[in-house]
Amino acid sequence: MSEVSFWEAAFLWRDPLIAASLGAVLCALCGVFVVLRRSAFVSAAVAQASSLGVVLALLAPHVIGSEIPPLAAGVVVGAASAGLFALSGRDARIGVDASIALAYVLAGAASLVLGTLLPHEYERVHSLLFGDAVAAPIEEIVALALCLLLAVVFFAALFPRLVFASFDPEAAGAMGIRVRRLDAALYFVLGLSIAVATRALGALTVFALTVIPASGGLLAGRRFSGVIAWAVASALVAAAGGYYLSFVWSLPTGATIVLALGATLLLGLAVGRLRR
Amino acid sequence: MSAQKGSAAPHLRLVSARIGHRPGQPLLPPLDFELWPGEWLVVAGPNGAGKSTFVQSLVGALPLLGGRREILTPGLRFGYVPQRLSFDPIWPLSTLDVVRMGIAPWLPPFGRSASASARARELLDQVGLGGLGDTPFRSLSGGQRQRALIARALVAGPQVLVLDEPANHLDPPGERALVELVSELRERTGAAVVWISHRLGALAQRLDRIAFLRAGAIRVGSLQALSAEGILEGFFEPGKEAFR
Repeated sequence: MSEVSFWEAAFLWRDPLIAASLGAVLCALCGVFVVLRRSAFVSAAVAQASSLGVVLALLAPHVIGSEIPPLAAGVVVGAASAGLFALSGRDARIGVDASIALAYVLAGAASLVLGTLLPHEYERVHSLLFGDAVAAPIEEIVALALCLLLAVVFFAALFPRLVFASFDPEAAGAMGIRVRRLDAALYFVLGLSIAVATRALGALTVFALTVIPASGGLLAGRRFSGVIAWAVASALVAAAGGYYLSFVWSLPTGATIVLALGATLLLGLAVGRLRR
Repeated sequence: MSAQKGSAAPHLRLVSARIGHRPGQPLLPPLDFELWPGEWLVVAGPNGAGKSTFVQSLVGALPLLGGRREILTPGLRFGYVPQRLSFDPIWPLSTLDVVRMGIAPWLPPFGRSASASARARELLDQVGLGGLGDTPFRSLSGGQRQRALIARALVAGPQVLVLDEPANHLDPPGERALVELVSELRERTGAAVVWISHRLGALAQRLDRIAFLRAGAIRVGSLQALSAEGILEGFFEPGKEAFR
């Protein structure tokens, strides 16, 4: 148990809690489409692709003689990899799940191999990628807020088309929706959001935030609007509650948030059973 | 072809069109084709002849490999009923939600259509699903889903209704009922019907023209004309409604 009370230590947790809340809402919103499109592992693959981007950026001064900002490289490569899932996912010979798995293993292996050229940079790569859930620089909060704004505008602008193109791409295409272009835009937004959130909250927490709240919403809700509302609310509650519990019981923050999300999943299951 | 006699211009025209999925490998010779307002066109032929590819090119979902596609009706809208009736059951969608999807291609960014729900309920009534609007789409039977998808295809008021092998899962009475339903909807909406099929069945009495594809060739004409030319030999036997 911490010796300083939670409320006395507000200066310690205010910014990280704001970051966790922004990241929770962002990931929960994106997660609804991630889960409905059965692309749950997109988060893990984007994190691996981001790590490859960071490693490549750190190698750049040795190879091309000029600096590339590692964080920007990680975000760009992560978001671009998600766009590629969309382009390859509609190929009849390979599904989007296989594309995600390919990105995960190939980016992971490439990062490990190239990482041997940077033996003293491991800690830096890890820190750049996964940040620290108990510290949140203002630039991370701003990046999360901008991503959340982008995601909200994107989903609000194109929601009916996204639902149609995701549910029945064949009919959507025949009736005039440019499905491949829309898929690429959706995965780019997902990739960018996941890459930025991973930097702020860590890979495990972001993975959980993109899968568990939406799954709980599908278990508890009957309507699309209810699923989205449940996902956002449960992610917020779990992020704030998990952060609080980790503080007062001195537990690992990310893992505590994930377990709190697990509790909301059980609640969603119970609510769903009661409503049957 | 009674539908085209009173029409000044076709909805769309393919000019020297090369259709197919792979560049350099067109399925058919260069094709000239016109789709007329209000006509009932059956796209027929054996499995694998390229019927769906032809129709995807017609509606613009598949880019042409060559030639051009001219839209002569400004703002031409297509409604499309897919062949498959099974969809991922995890989607939390009511029947009304699915029908309302049909308006999505025509909404501007941030747009919502206040009239789409009323129009969707009206169409659900017309296809015999009145009262099932709030039922989860995944709970519907196959036949009910097909009717809901027909309603979805019509909700935006398209000038062309395309049905991709809609009778595949139906027995002859079911097929006749579906043809009757589409015929009634065509009367009400004035939409042209493009019906993809590998058999003619109950369609023989309704269709205006057939686009018949077989062995890398396409012929377009009336049932009588194509039958007289022997084009449909081995595929359609007049008077028997027998199809191979």
